[in-house]
Amino acid sequence: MANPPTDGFYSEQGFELPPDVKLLARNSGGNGDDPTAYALSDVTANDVFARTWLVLVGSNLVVVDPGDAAGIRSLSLDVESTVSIVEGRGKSRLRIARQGKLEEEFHYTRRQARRFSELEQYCSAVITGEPLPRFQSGSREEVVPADERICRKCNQLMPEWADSCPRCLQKRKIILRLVGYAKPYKTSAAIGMVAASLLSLLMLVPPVLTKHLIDDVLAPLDFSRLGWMYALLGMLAAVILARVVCTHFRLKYLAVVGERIAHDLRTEAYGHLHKLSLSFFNKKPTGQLISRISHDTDRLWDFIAFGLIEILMSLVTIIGVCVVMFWTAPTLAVLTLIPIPIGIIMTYYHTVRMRRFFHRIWRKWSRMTATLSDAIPGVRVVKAFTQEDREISKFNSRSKDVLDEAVRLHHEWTGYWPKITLLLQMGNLVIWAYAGPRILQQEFTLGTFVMFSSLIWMFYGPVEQLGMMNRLLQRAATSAQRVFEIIDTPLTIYTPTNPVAAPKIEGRITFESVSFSYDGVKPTLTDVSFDVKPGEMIGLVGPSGSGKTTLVNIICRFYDVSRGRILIDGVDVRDLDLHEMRSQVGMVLQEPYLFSGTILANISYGNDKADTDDIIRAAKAAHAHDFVVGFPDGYDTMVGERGQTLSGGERQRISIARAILNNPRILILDEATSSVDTETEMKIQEAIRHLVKGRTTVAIAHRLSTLQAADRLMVLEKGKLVQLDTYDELINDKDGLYARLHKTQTELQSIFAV
Amino acid sequence: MSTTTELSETRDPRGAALQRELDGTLTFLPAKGSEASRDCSILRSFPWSMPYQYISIRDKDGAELHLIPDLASAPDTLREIVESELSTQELIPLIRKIHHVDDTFEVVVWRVDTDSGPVEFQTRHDEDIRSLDGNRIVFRDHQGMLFEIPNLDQLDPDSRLYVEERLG
Repeated sequence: MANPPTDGFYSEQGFELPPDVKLLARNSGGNGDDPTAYALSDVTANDVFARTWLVLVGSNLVVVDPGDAAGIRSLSLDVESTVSIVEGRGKSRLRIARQGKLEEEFHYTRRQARRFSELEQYCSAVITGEPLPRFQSGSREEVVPADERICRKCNQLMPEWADSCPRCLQKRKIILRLVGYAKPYKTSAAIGMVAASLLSLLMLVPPVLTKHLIDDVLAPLDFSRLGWMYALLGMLAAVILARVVCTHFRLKYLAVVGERIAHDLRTEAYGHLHKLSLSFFNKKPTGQLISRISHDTDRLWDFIAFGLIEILMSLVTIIGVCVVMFWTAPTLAVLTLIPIPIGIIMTYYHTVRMRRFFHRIWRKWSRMTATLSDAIPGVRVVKAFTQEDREISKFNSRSKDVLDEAVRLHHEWTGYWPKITLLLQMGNLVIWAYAGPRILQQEFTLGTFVMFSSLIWMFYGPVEQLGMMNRLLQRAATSAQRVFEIIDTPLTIYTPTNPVAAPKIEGRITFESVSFSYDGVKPTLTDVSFDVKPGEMIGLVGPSGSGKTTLVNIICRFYDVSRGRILIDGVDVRDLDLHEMRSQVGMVLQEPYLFSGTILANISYGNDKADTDDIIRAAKAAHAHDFVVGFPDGYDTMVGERGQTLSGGERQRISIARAILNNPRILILDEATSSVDTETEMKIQEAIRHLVKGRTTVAIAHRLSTLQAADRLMVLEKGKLVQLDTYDELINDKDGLYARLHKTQTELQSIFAV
Repeated sequence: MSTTTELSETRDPRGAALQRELDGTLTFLPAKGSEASRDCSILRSFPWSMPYQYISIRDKDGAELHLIPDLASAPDTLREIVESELSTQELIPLIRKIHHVDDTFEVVVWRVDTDSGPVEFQTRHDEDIRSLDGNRIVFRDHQGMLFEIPNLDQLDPDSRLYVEERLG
């Protein structure tokens, strides 16, 4: 079967029809036709998960229960059938009725919603005799909804950021790929590694020297060996110096290599990010993207500069300690090492518990900060409703949660070291008991013993380090994966290999039965067709949620259509050079976005080479010049996040100036709904008039004046184009949607007019 | 007032009633005078906090026709239709045991036993796990499927730990 249930846990996504079901359905559907659509009814009326396949073969809906060969039934669909979806909360159903009588209902969970929505469309097409939805003319290969993010290998959901399933991608591979980024910096990395290893080995030298100091000089109390003592001290000094040098080299080289790799990753990811389509940005919260490029790469720096090397150093230290011990006194070494496994087990459990605590404290912490980011931006509301006390107590209680958790955390780790110390000191006593008599019998020396006692302490740091290694690798792998995913996300919207050249667009826009859906379940635009002549101005109207914004977005090719095609000057937009096409499409958004920088820079955004005269001309045409010069800093006024705050009307006029300067062939205008004072309003209208002159304009219009200025109005309702005509015609069509909308709007205005 | 085939019809004290048609749809019969509404739907206003109060009856375009303030005090027959409709359109499996949780890569994969059978689901964000009053935990998986733990304290300790680790 294509998607076997994993160990009996229902996880099926039902995007592939199992071959045996397909065969059964084909045989019982008559004619031996291939199935056209199918869906998995995954739950019964009694809320038990089940597997019943519904397969549309010709005009028969075949019901197959793979567990029961006798359970194959066939419902034939004809003009008297109705197939509909009844959406529920968690459980929807496909209802099949015939001659006004319910035949059967099939239940399904949200998991199968997309398939059922398709099946329903297909069934309805079969009933009405319309062509099947997928095979409409002009459609390209089926657009796979970006939301269908399930790994076909392990049949599990992939994280939002992932393009290949990280569960199936090995951690090792990701780390190796990350290490691969160090290639250009081989020499530095090698120097750093060697220095780090040397550093670990040098740690072993002082105990060895101490042993000689005790055995050769101190224990014999032989004054003639004073010279040897100084030599040993000299060696100790040399070791200390060498360690300083190694530490310096290690930190310097590896920190810099890590920094360079992080920089390479950051720039590569950011560069790729800008080529991705808008749907990528819609699915990912801005904060998450920012954190991937800043925080995750920083974490990788930390891993390369310190984490990776600490693992190496820990290993070198542990091996080194063992070698020295067994070299000098094997039996004592065995005895000394006895507490170590116990210590390792304790350390292991300690790290596991710490991880849990960190997890919990981190969650509590983020809950606490969430109250801050909730209340501080909303401080006006808090004050207006005098809810200060409530907010304070909310914060206090969350902060108290953090405190409690932190107390538990500190309790945990502060308990660990005393326990380890206890273990080692007890072990030490045992060793004393064993070694004492043998020292007296001169089986081995006091120096050896002292050396052992100090070496054993060098075990635990590295063991603890290695205990955390898994987590460290895990975190690094996750961070690396998150960055790599941006880099690896394929471009869905791109210029074809042989684009049709369009250096100067005429401005004809043609929609040929365009349908679009963001998620593949709910259609946002259905079968929209129209033709806009070059230079024409179209006003786009309709209730909110009717698809106006979507329509202008797909003209700019922020998304590709699901079905049908969009032509600019008779050429499919998907065949045009994306950059060339977009540079000739201008947009004035409802809430204009100003970048932080000067007004000058904002007007000339996208037109770096524009000369000052043009900029002023554009600003004048947009009625922005006068107020801009009125500012103390004129065109050099800083705007954006930390700059001068501009009013809505002012921002709008600056963005209009930007569009005028850009001189696009096609203009998209998303008119602001918010009302401004009459004078500003008139100025904006004036500016818009300048702007639309001589270009094809599609305007999402709210203001009467814009609507009257438009050559034709396009009325959208629930994703369908319901009316397309001149303003006067639409107003006179009393039953039309536009006339109704217009009536309510004028009524509203007369209520609020003063 | 209605001539459609009536399987069951009932009126609340103020006269509004629901009836189930032969084709499976629901028809709403308002208190008096105005026309019956075919193909209407039933929604809860407070699914988690007050599931049996303020039940909204809507026409096929989603406009509210009637609000039942309290299902318990509605006439039996109306209540039966509403309850049967709600139960056919709602699925919130109750989690009995959590077998395994994997959160290696941001997405958390849960393998659980529920009263609807064993199931695997995946949550993406912290907000997907919501804790309600009385130790009730509600999960909304990435596709919008709902799962519930009616009382966390009554779950076995291992299962409980899985949840607690991932709760605020």
